[in-house]
Amino acid sequence: MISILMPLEFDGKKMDIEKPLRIRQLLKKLSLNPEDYIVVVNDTLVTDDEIVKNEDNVKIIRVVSGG
Amino acid sequence: MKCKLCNNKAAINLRAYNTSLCKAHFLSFVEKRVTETIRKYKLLNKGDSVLVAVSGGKDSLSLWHILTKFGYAPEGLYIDLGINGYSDRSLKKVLSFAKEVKARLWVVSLKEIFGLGIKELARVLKRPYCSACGTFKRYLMNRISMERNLRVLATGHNLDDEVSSLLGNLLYWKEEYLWKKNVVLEEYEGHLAKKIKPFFLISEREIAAYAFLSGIDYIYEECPYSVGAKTLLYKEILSRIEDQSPGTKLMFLKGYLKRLKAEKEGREQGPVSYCTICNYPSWGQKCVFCSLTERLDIPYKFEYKEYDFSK
Repeated sequence: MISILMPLEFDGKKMDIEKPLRIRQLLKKLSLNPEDYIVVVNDTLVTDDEIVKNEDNVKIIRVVSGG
Repeated sequence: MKCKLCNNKAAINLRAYNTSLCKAHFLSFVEKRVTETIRKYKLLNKGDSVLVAVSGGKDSLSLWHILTKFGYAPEGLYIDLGINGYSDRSLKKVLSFAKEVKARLWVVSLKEIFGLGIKELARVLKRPYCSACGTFKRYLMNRISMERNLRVLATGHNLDDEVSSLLGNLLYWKEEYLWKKNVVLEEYEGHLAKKIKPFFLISEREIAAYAFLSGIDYIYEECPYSVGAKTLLYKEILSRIEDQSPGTKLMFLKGYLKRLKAEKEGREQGPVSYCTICNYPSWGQKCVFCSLTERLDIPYKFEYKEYDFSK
């Protein structure tokens, strides 16, 4: 189980993953454009080739603002 | 992914620049780009007194952080729009940041001046929220900047703000606004403060990463009234293009700046008269702000608070 925190969309979503996957695959799975987000895994900002696995805490931060 | 400069683990990949950088090199990359923008467009001189307009979001707090780091000792201005919950939470972030950088903060509240928040003001004036908000904010920022003799007003507008606005102006061929966007708007005869946008060429993603890596505690949530705003639609579309073709946004804006230079020559510069009520430059007898506040028919006193954390 990986914990996904997306402060803007939803809080504390849990997601079970069968095998470790790259951030870019995770974002694709969640239908998120990587240009609109930065991703923090276990409190470290990571690039989209980073592999996440069960027990990781993933924070997906939307960067788009304004109206 | 490795940092292209030191081979350490990268914190961010920047596809527009075909590079990836570690924390230390990314922070200096952003700061170097801001320095270049300040120098190239002559945004600031040593000794300039600067007012940074802050909302509590990543852009404005990062700007305050960077300008402080560069030694400009900027003061902050927070405009409390009176949005239930959201305004309190963002003010809290701004106050705590001001304490951290030991700076002076000015807070102006619409509710304290007019007895109404931006939502109610917009309704009474029959204006869309974002339009009314823009008018009030522009006026208040300039007025406080002039009154406090902080002659340079810095805002956190970033690359994405600018390209989305440019796209909107092009789609509707709003020629009256099209060529008004710039990195700097010069001071106008002692009535308008000089306005600068040091993040003009820095993307939102870069600023969010910069804020995170610098430990800046900003408000993630967005203004509740921005839901459905066209700007957000344009940003979404431009991000999809950027994802498929990295660097497009930067090219779009740089191309605009190049054309702006030629376009500005021979064009009418600035308004020709001053508002008969507040002396703010205007195209007609009254400026937009005074026309709106007259329609409100609410007697008001212009006041704002000072929080001095510099001592």
